[in-house]
Amino acid sequence: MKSSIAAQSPISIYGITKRYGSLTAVSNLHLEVNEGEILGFLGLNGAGKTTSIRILLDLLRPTGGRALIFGHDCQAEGLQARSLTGYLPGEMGIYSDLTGREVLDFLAGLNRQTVNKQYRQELQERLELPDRDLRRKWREYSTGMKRKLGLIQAFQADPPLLILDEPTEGLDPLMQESFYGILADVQRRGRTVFMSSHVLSEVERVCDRIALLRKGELVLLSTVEDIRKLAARRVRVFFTEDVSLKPVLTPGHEVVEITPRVWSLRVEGLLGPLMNMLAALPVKDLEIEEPRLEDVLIKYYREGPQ
Amino acid sequence: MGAVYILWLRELKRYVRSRVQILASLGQPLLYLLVLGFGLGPVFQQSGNGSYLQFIAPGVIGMTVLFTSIFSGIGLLWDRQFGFLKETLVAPVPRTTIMIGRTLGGATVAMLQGTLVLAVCLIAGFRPVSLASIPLAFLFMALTAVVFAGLGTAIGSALQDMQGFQLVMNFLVMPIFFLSGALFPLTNLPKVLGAVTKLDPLSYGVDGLRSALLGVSHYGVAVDILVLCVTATIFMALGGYMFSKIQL
Repeated sequence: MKSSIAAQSPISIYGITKRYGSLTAVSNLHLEVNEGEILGFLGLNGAGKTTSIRILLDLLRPTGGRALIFGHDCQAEGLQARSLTGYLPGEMGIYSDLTGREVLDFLAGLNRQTVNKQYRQELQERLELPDRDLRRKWREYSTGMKRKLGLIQAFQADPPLLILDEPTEGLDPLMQESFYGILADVQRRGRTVFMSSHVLSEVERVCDRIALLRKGELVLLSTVEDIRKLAARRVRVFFTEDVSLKPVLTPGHEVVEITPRVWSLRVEGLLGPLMNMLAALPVKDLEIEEPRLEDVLIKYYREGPQ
Repeated sequence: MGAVYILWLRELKRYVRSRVQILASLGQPLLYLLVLGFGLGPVFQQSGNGSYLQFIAPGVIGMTVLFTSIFSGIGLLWDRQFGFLKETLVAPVPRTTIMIGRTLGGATVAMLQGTLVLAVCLIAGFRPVSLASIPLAFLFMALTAVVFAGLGTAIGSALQDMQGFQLVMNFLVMPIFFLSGALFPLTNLPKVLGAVTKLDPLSYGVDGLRSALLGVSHYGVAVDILVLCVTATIFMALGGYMFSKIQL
């Protein structure tokens, strides 16, 4: 049987709009985040990612539309909504006279969270922020340490929904790996993660779905797998002898370069027609490059949907 | 309730840990107390008003409470600038609760600072009429602190950037101080000045302190308490309203 929380989507956004004077930061955004998924929220700087996140947390009030967290209106029932949410701000700012541990306890107290010390300890170990560092003052923290502490405070109460603003910014590659491991674990336990990012390789690796914002509008919402299918693959065909024939290509396939022994092609969609044509030719080898998410996304970043 | 305590304690710890700031904020009251207290003393004495140091000490205590409490509220501006506020506001705690915890913390700090200045006054030679009246003095410090912490929070919530700060300083905080009767007696003032001092909440705070510590009152203790309570309620409500409107 499902609990009452599980019956509602972790995040439902119904047409939120946020205007600052004549500037529209977010325009009529509709988005549903499903339980247990990791949704990557992409966009260039100023696309409206942080604005949307801040509306979810009631730091900003939308000009129009509404957003719900587990069925609770983020503005009218913000307390219930936020009690189910762990949040990592893009930039943590905290009283600089506090030590790391005091920051964690202060925020846990304010959030009325019961923090499992063992879980916090585990997070500390995985992110390599030992007790020794927690005794140091916030003002002595490096960018990376601040990020780690921010992650620990967001995860420490093991909330059903995590909203993370650029979680790996400032983390070194090893710590990024640890973070991905933690993400995988919380997902296994059924937690939902909504994270903004502009690192495509990261999104490709950890996210189930991608929502892409451009100038405040949602231009793409799709599973990572489907986006990969949209991507053109580079195919290179090597021949055992010179081939003088010109390739006859179906729509979606185009020539990059042709020499008598090697064809370089860009293939969108099915590979079958190309295979049929090659069947009659003296093919020595075939090289098919992994489709790259970037190729598709960059198009959306620049132009939006056709 | 828990959140109010946590935020109140946070303001207190922040104060206790900033020793340099504590020392620095003693500078101005000391200057007023010693330079004006002793400098204007002879003139004041000749005009038949008694010791100026005795007269000005409650005023300087009131001034300290005013500055400390109103700046703790305006300090919101800094908290916002440096992002401290975000982490507190995303907690599942009503904005009003956060505002009350923070503002009462600021008011308590102002009381501590006022107590410190009272001690300095005692060292400088100030003598209250009776020790029994000291608790009443604390009551007036507390009320004054809440009034101006509330006002400060309202202003700090409304200001968007540091530029507004100078404006508030020169056109609000300094006039509140100078028009409160902290430095001069409220009797026999020119009509306009007399009317303006009646509108200044600090007048009642300083008058209350003076009645507690010196046994002389201009408005009467009951009026002082009443006006301060009403003003405190209004300013706290205003502060709470402005705070709930903050967007980050």
